[in-house]
Amino acid sequence: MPHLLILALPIPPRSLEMLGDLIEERDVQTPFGPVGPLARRQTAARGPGVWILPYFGSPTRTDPRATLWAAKDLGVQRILAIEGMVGLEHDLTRGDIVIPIDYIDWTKHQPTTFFQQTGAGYISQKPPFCPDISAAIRQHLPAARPVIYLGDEGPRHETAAEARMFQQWGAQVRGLNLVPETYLAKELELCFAAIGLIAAHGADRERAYGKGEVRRATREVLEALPAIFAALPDPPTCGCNHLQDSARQRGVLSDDWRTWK
Amino acid sequence: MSAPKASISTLIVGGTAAYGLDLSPWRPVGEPIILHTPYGPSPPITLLQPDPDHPPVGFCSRHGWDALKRSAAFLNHRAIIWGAKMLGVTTIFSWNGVGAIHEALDVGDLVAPADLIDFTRTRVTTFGHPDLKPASGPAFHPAARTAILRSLPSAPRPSPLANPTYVCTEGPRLETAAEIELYRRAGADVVGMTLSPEAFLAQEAGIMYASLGYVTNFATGRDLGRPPRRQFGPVVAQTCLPLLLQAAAVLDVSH
Repeated sequence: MPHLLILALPIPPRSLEMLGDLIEERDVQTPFGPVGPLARRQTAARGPGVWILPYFGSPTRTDPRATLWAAKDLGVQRILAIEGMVGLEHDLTRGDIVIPIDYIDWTKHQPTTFFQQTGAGYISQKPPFCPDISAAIRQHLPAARPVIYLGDEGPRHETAAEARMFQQWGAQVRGLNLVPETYLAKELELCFAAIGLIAAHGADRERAYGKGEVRRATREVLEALPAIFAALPDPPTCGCNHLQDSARQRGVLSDDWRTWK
Repeated sequence: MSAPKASISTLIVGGTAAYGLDLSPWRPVGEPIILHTPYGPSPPITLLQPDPDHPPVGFCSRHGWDALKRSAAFLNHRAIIWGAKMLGVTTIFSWNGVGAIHEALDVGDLVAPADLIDFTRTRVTTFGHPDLKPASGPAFHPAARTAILRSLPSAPRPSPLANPTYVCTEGPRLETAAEIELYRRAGADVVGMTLSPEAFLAQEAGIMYASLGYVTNFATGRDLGRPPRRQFGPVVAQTCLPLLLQAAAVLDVSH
């Protein structure tokens, strides 16, 4: 099964060459709109290959349901997102690498579920992110700091007052691309985890000007990707791919995920 | 508004495990009633008369009849409350499965929420009707809540929290540990997905409303070293329905 890499930060395509040669490009039509183009890369050593989806830069967000439906349609089980994040906690500075271990959903207009007509969206958020992918990230990016992520609505930046409030709530970083994606992924039994690069400081702090530290950190993350993908256990040990077992057993969901609603 | 086929003063809205509940111990009367409201059909309302000395009480299952068909965000809350109004209902008692945030609460405990924090974001929270005043004052009607509290001593344990605050989340997913910690800091004791907008719509409609919370689980991250336990089974409904029927009788006598 190929993996899906979601790139919620600008990266020149040639910097992804360590993931293998570009072998295919595709757009996927979904009930929630089109997704793509997605580019598939595969190394000569074969391996499962990686679909790569740029996921930033638009004034309006991609419908997260379309992204996840497309992943499922492409036969993907594991999704890794790399996102440029706002460092809310004052210890976090540009170029720091983080790994979200929990989240607070502060989105307002994003879809909350695939399941409006059944009770199948009642899913535990413990663990909030896929344990298998998270373990591989921590193994190969040991400096990545575990953080609580605040998923904001955007696209506007947070205000200084909001940045202070989010910190009072316990959030350490803020971003726009992991929530509701991570919990909608669970609904479709997909694995989802993320690596964050601190690209800006919260609005309650003085603006940080770049000296190449984000570029250097991005390179460090990209160079770790082949090892992270290679460290994923096969078959998965996380249980993400069994999250709807009980709904299937109760007859709430059929075996064909395309019929799920 | 079509003419109601019956008139009742109390409606019990069943939450967790209400679907599939065998009502025969509480003596159903006649056929279930479905009211055609401006917001669509109400759920089927069954009249129950366990005690011939008291008038029948209405009962409906919030999430569907034979199974959990819909999660709270996608229920037609307005049709339930407007349907109740069409039947002449003056008091609504509901029960809800809640997750324990406060450390004094254990699975199986019963609480009567005293206040409400609304963290939902997609729900219609008002009838927007020119003749109805916006909800204000206590989120739960003191007299209706007192009737629930008076019915509680027959429960397995006395309620450990006198005035718990309920936080209503959007769902349908469960909450993360980080979110529960935020709600705890905000003053919430129990968490659920149902009471907003139900309580607010009832207030707008001028119906006294109070709720009985059955602690079904520890909220995420709040097991605090205790063995994880869950209770979503029929016992939730079998515990809550008789208590709320008793609360209805208490209110009937006090009027």
